Amino acid sequence: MNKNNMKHIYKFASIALLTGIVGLFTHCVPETTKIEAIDAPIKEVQAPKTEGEVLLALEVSSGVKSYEETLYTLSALTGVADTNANVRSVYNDVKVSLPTDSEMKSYLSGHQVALAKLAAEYCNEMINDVTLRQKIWNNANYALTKDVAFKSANPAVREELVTKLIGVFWGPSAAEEDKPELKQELLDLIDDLQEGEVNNTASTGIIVKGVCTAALSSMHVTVK
Amino acid sequence: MKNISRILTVSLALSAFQAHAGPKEREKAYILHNRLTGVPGTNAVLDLMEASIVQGNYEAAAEEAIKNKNFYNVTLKNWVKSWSNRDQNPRVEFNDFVATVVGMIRDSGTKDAVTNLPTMPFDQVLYGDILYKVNGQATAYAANSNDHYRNAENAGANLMTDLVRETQSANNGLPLFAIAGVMTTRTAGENYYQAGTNRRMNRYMFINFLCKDYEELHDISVPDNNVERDVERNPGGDSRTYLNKCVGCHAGQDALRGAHAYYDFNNGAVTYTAGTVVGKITRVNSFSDGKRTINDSWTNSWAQGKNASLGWRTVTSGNGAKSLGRMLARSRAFSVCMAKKVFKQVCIKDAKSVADKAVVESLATSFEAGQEYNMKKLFVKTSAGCVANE
Repeated sequence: MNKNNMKHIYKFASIALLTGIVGLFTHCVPETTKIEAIDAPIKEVQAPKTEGEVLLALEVSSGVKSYEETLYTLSALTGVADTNANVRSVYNDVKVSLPTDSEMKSYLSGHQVALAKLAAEYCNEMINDVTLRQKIWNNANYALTKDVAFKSANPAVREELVTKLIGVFWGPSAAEEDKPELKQELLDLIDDLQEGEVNNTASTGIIVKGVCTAALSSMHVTVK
Repeated sequence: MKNISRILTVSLALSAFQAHAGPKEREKAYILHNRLTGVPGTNAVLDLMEASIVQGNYEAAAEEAIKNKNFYNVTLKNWVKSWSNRDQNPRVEFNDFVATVVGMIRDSGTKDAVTNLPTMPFDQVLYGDILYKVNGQATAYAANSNDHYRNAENAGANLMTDLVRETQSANNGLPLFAIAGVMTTRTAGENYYQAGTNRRMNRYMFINFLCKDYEELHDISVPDNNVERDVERNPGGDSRTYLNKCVGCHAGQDALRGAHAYYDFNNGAVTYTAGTVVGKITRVNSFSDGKRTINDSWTNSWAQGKNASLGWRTVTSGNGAKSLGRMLARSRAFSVCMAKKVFKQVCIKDAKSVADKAVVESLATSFEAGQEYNMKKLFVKTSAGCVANE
């Protein structure tokens, strides 16, 4: 290789290095960062994340109960045996729609519907059984018509119904500071469920079962 | 219909409030019980657990929780079910594979009265002559049927009290030297020996017990002298595909496959033909100069190179599934994998952060300490640590 060629190579290499250095200073500094003052905070402008990206990035350390865990949990809370024929019949119908694993991020509306169906059957069996329902509401009088049982002038019955449901079904999984608001949700539900119902004792049972189902199918029961 | 939708709306609205936020110790006891058993504890049990937690003793609280039969009947059973089938699906029948693993976990921690050595170290899951049956069942165990286990599950058998330890060699007709833990159970045979070329057994044992699928072990620097004759050397007419892709997995997995040369699954049962390589292994000959299996010898080609990091600690060659199972179970990767799986199960997250990975390593070390391989202790320590720090 002659001297002339070497000169060209050095020249080429120098230009390439210079270009590289200039490139470093123009492309490797994040364009989203601009220093406004020595002690000013650095502002970064980033493309907003989609809801899916945010969800994916979240680290969750709670899970939902799987199909079999749900079956036994509802049994433990209501006292209705998981082998009860009616419960088993509903469970066999909805089993495939209940969660397979504890992955919270893959919990779908279909899971919640299946859970509500199973909870409704457990509540139905529990409330139809005098011994079991008295374990929760020892003073409950199901001989009352709905107007007598739930009218606003008789708040004690409504209060007992809701308070004891929360205590037995949710235990320490509901925050004390949230309980007044949670209780109000269930009280409002009692009012809503009364609309259009005949004023008899059968309606009283139906309303209690509805409130029971809402409480039993909430995440306070199925989150672990 | 209006009422149903209103009830659903309210149940969802109630769910919007933060779950798990009661008084601290009680709440922790409640979570710990739910994580370990899948069901809420009774007030009496939560009282005991809370008292331990107040003392700072989360492990004692966890030990109290696992006295509930649902630790075995729900948590462990469903956890292990997904290991027992190709689809890794927990929605399958209870079976001999699951019963054996659950039984081994139940009995872990017991020690021999004379030698003080552990009588049920969990590493035996891949080489021990162990079979758990369910006591008091009308349907007897059979080597060619799952009825015994399916009926036991349907009858609501209590897996904490009803599992009885026996040996496979006394039950399934295989000679003692051919028994290799859960690999030779009927369910494993049905899923991993049936049809195919017996490569599937090792792949799923790597997935289930070492937490490594073959893609992760891919290493084209391993010599291809152990790649079998049924592997095409120029797939699609391009030998580069073989050299850059096929070799990466087959050089290692084919070297190990010989361990299963005498096993098959016929008429509902695992079969073993000592000294005779099953026909399906050698049937296809795409490249005559490739390796031909002539006996049940195996060698671990992944003991060198990048996969040496799995921590192989015993002999790296041998004959038959039993010695292969021992090598897998005594590797560091086995202990780490078990710790990872338990962490995922009771902490409800993968160990991704640096801190969590360090916890898993520490749990793995504790798990294998003194070759105790105490799975129950691993559950207790892991769950206690997670719930205490949440």
